[in-house]
Amino acid sequence: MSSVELKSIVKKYGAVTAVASIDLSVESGEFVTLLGPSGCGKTTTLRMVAGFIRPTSGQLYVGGSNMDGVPPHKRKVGLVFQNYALFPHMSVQKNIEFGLKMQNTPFEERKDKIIDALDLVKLRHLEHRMPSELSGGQQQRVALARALVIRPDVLLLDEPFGALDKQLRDHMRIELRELQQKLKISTLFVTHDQDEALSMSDRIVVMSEGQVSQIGSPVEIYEKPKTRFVTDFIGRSNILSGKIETEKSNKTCLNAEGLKLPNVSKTSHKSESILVMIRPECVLLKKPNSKNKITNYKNTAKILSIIYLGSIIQYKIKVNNGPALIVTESNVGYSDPKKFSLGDTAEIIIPENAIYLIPG
Amino acid sequence: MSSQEHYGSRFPYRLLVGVVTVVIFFLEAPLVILVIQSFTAESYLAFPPPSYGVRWYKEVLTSEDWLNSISLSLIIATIVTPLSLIFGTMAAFALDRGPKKLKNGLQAIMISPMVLPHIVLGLGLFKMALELDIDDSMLAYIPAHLTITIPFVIISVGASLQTFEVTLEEAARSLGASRFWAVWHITLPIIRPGLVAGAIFSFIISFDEFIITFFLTTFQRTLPIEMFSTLMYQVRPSIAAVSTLTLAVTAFLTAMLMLRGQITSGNKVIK
Ligand SMILES: Nc1ncnc2c1ncn2[C@@H]1O[C@H](COP(=O)(O)OP(=O)(O)O)[C@@H](O)[C@H]1O
Ligand SMILES: [Mg+2]
Repeated sequence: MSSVELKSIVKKYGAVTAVASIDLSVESGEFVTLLGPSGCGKTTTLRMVAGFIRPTSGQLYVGGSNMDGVPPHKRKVGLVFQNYALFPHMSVQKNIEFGLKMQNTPFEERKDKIIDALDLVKLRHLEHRMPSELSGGQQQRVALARALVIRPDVLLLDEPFGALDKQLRDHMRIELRELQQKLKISTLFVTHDQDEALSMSDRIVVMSEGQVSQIGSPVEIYEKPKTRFVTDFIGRSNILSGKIETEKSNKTCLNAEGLKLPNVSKTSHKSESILVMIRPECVLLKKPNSKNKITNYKNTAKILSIIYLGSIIQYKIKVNNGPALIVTESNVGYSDPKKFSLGDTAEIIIPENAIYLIPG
Repeated sequence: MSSQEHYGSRFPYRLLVGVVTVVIFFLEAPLVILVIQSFTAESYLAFPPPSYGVRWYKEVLTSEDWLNSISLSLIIATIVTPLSLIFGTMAAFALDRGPKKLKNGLQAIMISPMVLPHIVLGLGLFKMALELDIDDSMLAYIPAHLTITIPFVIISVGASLQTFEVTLEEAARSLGASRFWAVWHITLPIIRPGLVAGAIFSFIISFDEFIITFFLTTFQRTLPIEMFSTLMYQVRPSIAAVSTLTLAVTAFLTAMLMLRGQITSGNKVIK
């Protein structure tokens, strides 16, 4: 049984369509992320699940029951906001206790559950602090404990780490995912940060302008994007328009704006216009004239710019008689003999499995 | 030192201090004189009094007329304050949470009694009270006072609501609190400074109200009306004593208001 299920959910504000017919589900124990640029309808979708916004049309199920007309406090959802939303006039312990009190949990049971929840987020020692005495990361952990202590059917998080600095964000990411897997709690997570989505999710729902662009595992979304939008949004990529051509040898090849590539498509329809995606990290740069095995598709390029990013080095190269490409290489050390300088010529190798075609 | 440097030249700074001193002197001097005069032991008002005593306080606190009017005013203010707080808070919520398009217009209508000439308001309420045959009674005083106290609650509570983070209420609702209990447990405690300010304003304004009440009374007398009638008749030191008592109540409530402001803003850091 799905923990959350949205069937053709639409939300309109007058003439503005915030969410245009969404279908998605969160299976029991699954971590699903809504990923998309600002304004694509992620928050609206989450708030409809929580019950703060009434869908214009469509069906919504939480824990198997139809949520039509069910107010937020009768839905078993745990909510975590970007601004933490801790009750400022209550201690950490009282914040966590609030949901239990609303459920009329007996006092003794409340005490045990609060302790468990505090242990879960490793904040036992801070139970008597006020929210204003906590750091951002600690506040967000309290918010998480507060949402989890009532054992919701689904945990909803709206950009929960947006207000934290990068290091803490990376840390919280790991912590939340571990917690989620330990508790096996169904989770719907909203973010515009692709790294967050890729690193935490079982499935990612990429959204664009109120619609679902693609649903898939992080690997599918990154390696097999189905639309131009997903390709552009997830990771950096080189996107070239391609044509299938016949060579002298009567074999077909792929011409991507002048870059000659093997024909990885199953068809040989010459008229077909397609988009060719090549991830920057899949392109290999070699010094020319090295004794590499020469392939049919030998392209050379000139180094236009070099950006040093620490763990990786990013090059912009111009393929001879072809397009400019972004290429990244992991930095294996300062004394790397393969290092290039501005203006150098390099031989580029693009493995067949690094070439991905999207219907144009 | 630093403030003088801040102004660049000492002159504007000194001018400012001078102007403020003069203004405060002219505002406060009559009050100070009145308070001192109230402690006269003579049977007439003089400054400075030739001899001191609490004779006139004794007279006021044993006079039936004064005691009746003081208790009437206290009773009205005590009934008006909670009602004003309830209705004003409800109106402030409606304005804050209702359609944004209507907000400015509705708010202008709701707080207009604050700026309307009270004499016009009094006349209107007087005609209405006559029609309903409720003049010279609580049934007239209380709604009349509410029309002018509620706007103060709307403004003070409205200001608190504006800075209130609505996601807190949503968090409470997702944790199982109905809308009512979310407001009760979360919103109201957080906007308490606004509620307290609204209540104190309501009490002071009702206790002090003269013009509108004057239209509505025939035989009954609230404290300000009793003071006015006594003055019409003769200026006696008892007036100074009553004034000082009124001043003390008002000053006490105002001090509480200001102190609360400090305590609550301190709260945010410490507690
Ligand atoms: N109350 C509202 N009235 C009108 N338009 C709204 C309202 N709430 C959201 N929208 C619009 O709906 C779209 C989606 O908003 P939102 O769900 O907040 O996006 P996201 O969370 O992905 O950034 C935006 O274009 C926004 O302007
Ligand atoms: Mg959002």
